[in-house]
Amino acid sequence: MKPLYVVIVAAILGLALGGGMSWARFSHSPPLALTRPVDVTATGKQPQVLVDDESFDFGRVERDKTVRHVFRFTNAGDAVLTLKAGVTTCTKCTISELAKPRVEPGETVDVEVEYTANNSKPQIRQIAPILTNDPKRPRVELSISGTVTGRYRLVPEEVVLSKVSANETKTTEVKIYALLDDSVRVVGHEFMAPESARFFEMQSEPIPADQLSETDAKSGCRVRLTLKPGLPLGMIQQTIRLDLQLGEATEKVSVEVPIEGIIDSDVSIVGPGWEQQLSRLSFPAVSSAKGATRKLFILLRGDRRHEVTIKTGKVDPSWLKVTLGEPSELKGSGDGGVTQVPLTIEIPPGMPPVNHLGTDQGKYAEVVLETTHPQVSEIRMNLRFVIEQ
Amino acid sequence: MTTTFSHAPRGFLSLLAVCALASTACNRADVSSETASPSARPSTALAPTDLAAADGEALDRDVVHSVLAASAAANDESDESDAADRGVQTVAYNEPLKEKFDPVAENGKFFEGWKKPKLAIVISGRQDGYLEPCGCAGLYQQKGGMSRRHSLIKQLQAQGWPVAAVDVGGLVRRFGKQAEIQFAISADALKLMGYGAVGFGPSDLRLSAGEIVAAVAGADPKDSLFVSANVDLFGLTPKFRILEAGGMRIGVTSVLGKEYQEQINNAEVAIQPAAESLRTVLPELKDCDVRILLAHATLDETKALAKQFPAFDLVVTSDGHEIPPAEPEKLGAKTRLIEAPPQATYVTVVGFYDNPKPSMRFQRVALDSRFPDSPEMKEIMTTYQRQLEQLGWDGLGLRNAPHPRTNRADKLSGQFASAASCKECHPTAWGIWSKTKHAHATETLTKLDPPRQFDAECVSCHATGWNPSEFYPYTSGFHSLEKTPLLAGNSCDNCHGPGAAHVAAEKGRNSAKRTAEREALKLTVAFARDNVCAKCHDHDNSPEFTGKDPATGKDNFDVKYWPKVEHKGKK
Repeated sequence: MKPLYVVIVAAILGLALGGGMSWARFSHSPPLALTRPVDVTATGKQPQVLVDDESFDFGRVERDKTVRHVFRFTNAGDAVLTLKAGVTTCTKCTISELAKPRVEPGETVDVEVEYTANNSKPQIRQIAPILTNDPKRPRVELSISGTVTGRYRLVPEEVVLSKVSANETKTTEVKIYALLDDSVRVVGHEFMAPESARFFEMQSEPIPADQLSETDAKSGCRVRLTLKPGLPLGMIQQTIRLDLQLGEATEKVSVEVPIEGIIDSDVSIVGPGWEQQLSRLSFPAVSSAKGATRKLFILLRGDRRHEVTIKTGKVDPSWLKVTLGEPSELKGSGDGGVTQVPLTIEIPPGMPPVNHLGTDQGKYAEVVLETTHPQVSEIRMNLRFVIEQ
Repeated sequence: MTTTFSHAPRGFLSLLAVCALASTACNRADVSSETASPSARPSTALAPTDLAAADGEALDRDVVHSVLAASAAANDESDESDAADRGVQTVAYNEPLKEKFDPVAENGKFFEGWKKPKLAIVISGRQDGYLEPCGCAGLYQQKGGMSRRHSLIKQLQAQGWPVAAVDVGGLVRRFGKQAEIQFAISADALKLMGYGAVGFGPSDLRLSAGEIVAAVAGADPKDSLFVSANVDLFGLTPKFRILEAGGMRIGVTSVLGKEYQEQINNAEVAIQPAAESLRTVLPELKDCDVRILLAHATLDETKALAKQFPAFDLVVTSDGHEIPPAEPEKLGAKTRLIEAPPQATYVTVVGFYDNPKPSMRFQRVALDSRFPDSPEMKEIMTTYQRQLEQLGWDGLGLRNAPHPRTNRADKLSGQFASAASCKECHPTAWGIWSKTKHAHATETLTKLDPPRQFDAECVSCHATGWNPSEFYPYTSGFHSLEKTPLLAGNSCDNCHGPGAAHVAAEKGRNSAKRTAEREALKLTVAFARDNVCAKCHDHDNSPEFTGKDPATGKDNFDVKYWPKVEHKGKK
C-alpha cells in the first residue's frame, strides 16, 4: 500500500504546486482576505449574517454632539460568525464598537455605531463596514445619515461674486438662520483685509417670521453686503467677520465669511474659439468651398452699460463679414446685470486659400470694434485661421 | 488626551520649537529615500484577476495584463528619464508600498461573475477639484483621481466592452484662476477619457463664464460634453445629449438643484427651475433605450425629481454617501439612484444585458491603488502644473495678506522668522524638527513627478507662512525656493506663529516687549492639535490623524503623531 500512498501524496502535492504556480502567474495579490472562510467546519457548516436594518437616519444632529445607534446582527447559519470593525469613511467621527466579535449560531448581538458631528460638512453620509466570515457577505455596510446643525446656519457660507465690473456697484446678501434662539443680531463686524475694506459696506436687518416658514430656523437676520466701484482689476480677496448675538446671550459669537470675486473690464467677449488673454479668435481649418462662421457675444457690464453702442471698425481682410446683433439683457442668476451683444464673424465661401496663423507665413486677420464706452474705445480681435482649397 | 499629555511642555522655552506634527501627511517625503524597485509599485503588483470576473466570460487576463504592463512600463520610462534630467530621485504617482496594503482586501474584487455586457456605463461625479488624490496620507491607501479613472475605462474597453461615461459635474470646489485652470484641464481630461455627457456643479458655475465657455464649448459647441436642461451659457450648451454605444441609444440630461442655484451669483449664467426644464427635455429622449438624469441636487430633491419623472432609468445624485451603496437604491418601478461620492473616490459601472434578467448589473468601483497610472492623464497633470508655474502666484491672483496676529503698530509683527533664526537659541528643538518630514516638506513637492511646488493647494501646507486652508501666502511668507529658501519646509513659525518680532525682541532691551512676544508664541498641545495641526492634517489629507490606533485603542495623535515631534526645554 505504501507506493499507493506515495502516488496519492505526490498527486496532491503536484496539484497544489501547479495550482499555486497558476495563481502566482495570474495574481500578484493575496486572495481576497474577506472572503476567506473562517471557523467553517469540515462538515460544511457556515455562518450567515443577518442585519435587521443596515441604514439609519439620525435626522438633525447638533454640531459637536455625539449620537449612537445600535444595529442588530443575527447569525442565521450553523457555524460561528465572526465580526470585525472595518475602516469607516470618517475615522474622526464614526466609530463602530463590537461588544461581542464571535456570534454563536442563532445568537443576536448589538453593534453600536457612534457619530460625532465635528466634521465641517453639513450632511452626514457615512459608512461603517463590518467584516464577517460569512462567505456570502464578507462585508456588511452600515449606513448612517443625517444633517448636522449648529446654533446658527449661514447661507451661503462664502460669498462668491464671480465677475464684477470695476465701475459697478454690486450687492449680495448672506442669511443667518438661528436654529435654537428667538433672535439673532449682528452686533459688530470688520472687513479683515484692510487694503480693500473701504470698498465694502455691510447692513443687516431681521428676516420677518413669515419668510422663515420654509426654513428650519426660529429667527433670522439678513446681511446685505455692498461692493462699491473703484477696486483695481483682479481678484477680490476679502473676509468679513460678523459678531452675532444669539437670543439673550451676553456672549457674542464671531463668524468669518470669505468674499471672493474678480474685478474685470466692463467689456469682454465670450464664445467658442475665443481666447480672452490673447484677444484671439481661432477657427478650425476652413474649406474654401464652405467657409466658416463663429458666433460670439460681447458682454457689457457696469451701471452705464445700456448707454454703450458698438459698431464695426477696421476689418482686414475686408471680405470678412462682421455682424453685430441687437443688445439684450442677460437673465443671469444673482445680482448685477450684463448686456450681451451677439457678434458673428463669417469667412464667406469661395475665398482663395490663405494663411492667417499669425506666423511669418501669414499674420493674423484683424477685426476692430469701436465702442462709446469711456474707458474701452475699441476692441481688437486677432483672427487665426487658414483657408484650404 | 489631557491625561496623556499632562507631562507635555507648558512654558514658552520648552515650546518654542517645532510643533512638527505628523509624518503621514507627508508620506511622499520619505518615499523618495525608501523607494523600492519599480516592480514594487501597486501598478505592477496589481493582479489581473482582481478586476477580472471569476467565471463566465471573464475579462481576458492577458489583455488586462498587457494594458497594465504597458502602462507601468511607460511610467517607469518617463519616471527615470525625468529624474535623470532633473538630477532628483523621482517619486512615482503610485508610490511603492511602505507597508503591506492590499487594495483588493480593502475594497473587494470588482466585476466578479460579470459576463460581457451589451453596454457598460461608467458614472462619476463631484471631483471637487481633486484631479488626483493629494497623496499626503499615502497614495496607495487613498482613492480617486483622473488617472485611475482613465485606467479603469481603458481596462473595460480592452475587454471589448462597449463603454459610455457620464459625470454629474462638480469638477472644482473653489473660485479663482487656479479653479478655472482645473476646470479647463478637467474638461480636456474628460474628453480624452471618452466621456459623453457632463453636468454642472455650483462651483463650476461660479467661475467666469468666459472661462467656462472656453472649456465647455471648446472649438466647436456641437462637441460640448456639458449638458444641462436648466443652465444656459449663452445658448452654447445643449440641453441633452444622445450617446450611442453597444447598439444602444443613451439619452442624458442634467439639472442643477434649487439649493445649489442659491449658491451662484453669476450674472452671466442663466438658470431655470429644474422640474420645469425637465418637462421640456424629457420628450426629446423618448426614443432612447436608456435615459439618465444627472442631478446636481440634494438627495431629497433628486428623489423628488426621480418620482416626478419616472421615465429615467438612472438618476445620479451629487449628494451621495462617502461610499456609494453596493446595490443602488430603487426609486419607483424601474429607476435606480446612483450616488456620486465626494472627490470622485468611487465610480459606479452599470452593465446592461438582454439576457438573463435583470437587465442591469451594478458595480461600485473604488478608484484605489490597484489601478495603474494613465500616461495620458499624467501628461495632463504635467500641463496643469506647468500652467501654474508660468502664471506664478501673481498670475493666479494670490496676494500676500497680513497674518491674523499682525499688530499694525509693529512693522515686524506678523512677519516670519524661519527655522534658521530659531536655531540660534533653540538648537535642540531645531534638531528634533530637522529630523521630521516637516523640515523638508517643500523639497517633497520638488521631487514629485511632475513637481508641485508651484501649486498653491500643495504649497499652503508644504512651506512656511501660508494660510493652509485658504491657499494664499501671508505677508513675508514663502515665495519660492530661489527667493525665500529659508522659509522652505513647514517650520517653527507655522505652529507657533510668526516669530520675527520675537527674534527682534530677544535682541533688544525692552523686557516687557520680550515677555509679550514670548507669551504670544506659546502653544498648548490641545490648542495645536485642534487649531493648528488640523489645518493640514484634515480628513482628506491625514485621515488617521485623530482616529484610533488599532493596536492600542488610543488616539492616533497621542500614539503616532505627537511623539515624533515632541520637544521639551528651552533649547
